[in-house]
Amino acid sequence: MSQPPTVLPFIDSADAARFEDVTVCAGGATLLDGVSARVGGRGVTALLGPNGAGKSTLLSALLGLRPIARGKITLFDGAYGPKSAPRGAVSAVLQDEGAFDGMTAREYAALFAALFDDRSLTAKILAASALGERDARRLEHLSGGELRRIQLAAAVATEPALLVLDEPTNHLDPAARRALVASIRALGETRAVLLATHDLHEAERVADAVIVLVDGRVRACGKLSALCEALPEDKRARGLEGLFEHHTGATLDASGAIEALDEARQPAPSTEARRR
Amino acid sequence: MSGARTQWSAFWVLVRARIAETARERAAVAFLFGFPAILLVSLALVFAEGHPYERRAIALDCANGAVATALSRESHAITLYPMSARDGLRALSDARAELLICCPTGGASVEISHGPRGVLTAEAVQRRLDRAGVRTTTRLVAIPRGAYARGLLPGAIAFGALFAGLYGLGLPMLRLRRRRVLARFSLTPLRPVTLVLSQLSARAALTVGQSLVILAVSAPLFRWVPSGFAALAVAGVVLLGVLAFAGIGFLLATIVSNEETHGDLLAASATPLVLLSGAFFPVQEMPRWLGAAARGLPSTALVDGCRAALDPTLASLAGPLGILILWAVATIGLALRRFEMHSP
Repeated sequence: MSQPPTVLPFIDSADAARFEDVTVCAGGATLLDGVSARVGGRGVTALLGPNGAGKSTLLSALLGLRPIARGKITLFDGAYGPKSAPRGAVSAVLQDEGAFDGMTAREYAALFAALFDDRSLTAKILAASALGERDARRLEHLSGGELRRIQLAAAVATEPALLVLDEPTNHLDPAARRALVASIRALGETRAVLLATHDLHEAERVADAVIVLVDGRVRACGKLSALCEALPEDKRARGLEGLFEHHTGATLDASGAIEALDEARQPAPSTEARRR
Repeated sequence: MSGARTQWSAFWVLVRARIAETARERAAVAFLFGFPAILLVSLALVFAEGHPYERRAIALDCANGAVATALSRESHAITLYPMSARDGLRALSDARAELLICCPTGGASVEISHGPRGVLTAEAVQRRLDRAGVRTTTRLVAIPRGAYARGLLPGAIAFGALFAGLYGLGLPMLRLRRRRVLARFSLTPLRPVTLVLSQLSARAALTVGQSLVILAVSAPLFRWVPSGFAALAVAGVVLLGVLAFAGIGFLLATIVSNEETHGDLLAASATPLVLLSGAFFPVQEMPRWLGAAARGLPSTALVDGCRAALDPTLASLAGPLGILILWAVATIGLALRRFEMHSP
């Protein structure tokens, strides 16, 4: 009855995703400007940057939700493009992804089971989201943490080789954030996870590699340990915070969230005014 | 094969979820099924004795030019509506017409049918025709109390379908897009057509249910039991009406991306569609060019279809159903071509 997942072979890819000189424009503004970066076949890659850096744009381009003006995005060692990857091989929880009006958690799980022609997914998604008897509730009546849990459970139910998470901990309370971060860490052990966030403490707990994006351009990309090794002594001890400050000139608030960019350390503005 | 099965399974999950959404919400159920019934009872009470300002409308099934010429001198007092004897009798029973004048072939007398309230008008018309040398007979037709209110029944059913369609698909799609649910679904095997048809089917099923509830309420209210064929015809007309108007709302949703603008466009579209539908002003009384345009509108076809469906013949249903099918196919087809699950 149910089809075997078609995505498992990609998990051993050296590169889950590769960006080569990717430029994205919209409304006369350049949102991404010659981005080149790679996401490894396993582990969590944190996509870091302040609000408006272009993180969501990069993820949308990767998912085929936004056209690119120049450059190339390839998946699984160049085997596919964003729109040609097998359905289910790449999955995502989008930024501020909302609920389907009136649908219960159980119906939401059943929908994914139907879409992937595998009835066992309903139970799998509900078990992973740990809603208990609240699975009969409508999605819009769940707490933010519960909604994120079931969205994440649905996203990983088909065993995607690349999981894209766009600021999944936004609007969650500390306990829900901690639980979700732990889940992300675990997921990264068996697949590639690309996690966009502007919370450095959160990123430091899960990331194996980082891509630092500011103003639509990549400032740093690579293994976290290797990037930290290359830092000056005073920044190295501060780990990801030091790395981020070094490459962006950003200041951080007490929670590790990016507070402001040091304008003096900014590169010359791109040729076109940026809208976002 | 497997792809089709997947889409079919997803379709049913989505249809059930959408219907269950309404069923779970007491207020939604009350509004969907209760409000039209309350409206109908209110209309029946208010218009039990007919419309206070009704005109002297005369249904005319007559090829005898002398009759029309004789009556045209009274054009300030009466309005003639050429139609078949069958439609004329229905108009008389619904109190939309005061008299029905039929001219039989072969030189027999012209028959003037009227209800109890049309006696004086019938006598006046008879005198006028006698002076013109036309032989006449009169016939009293029993008009049930509340006949005028029953005449509003097709409009009540039609407008339920009109608004359910207009607001039932395009607006929810824009909301799902804003919440990024459509973008998320675009990463799954769900095809846009499956999603759209599931939402459309659920909405149509609920609206057909609503129209059947209206029929059920109207039966004891007007001491009138619709035939099985009439109920089936109402269901068919309402189904096509929902599809046609959902197509319009959906097409607008592919043109604008803002929910507020979409709502404004729907309101702006609904006003002329309702006013020109023939429910409030007879299409025959409109300027010729406007009447011709109105006859092609889905709202007019929906009202005509609902009117015909209450006493249906295949011939009377064919025209309205044809127009509704054309609108549904054109708008849904065009909208599906333009529809994208996500916007950059």
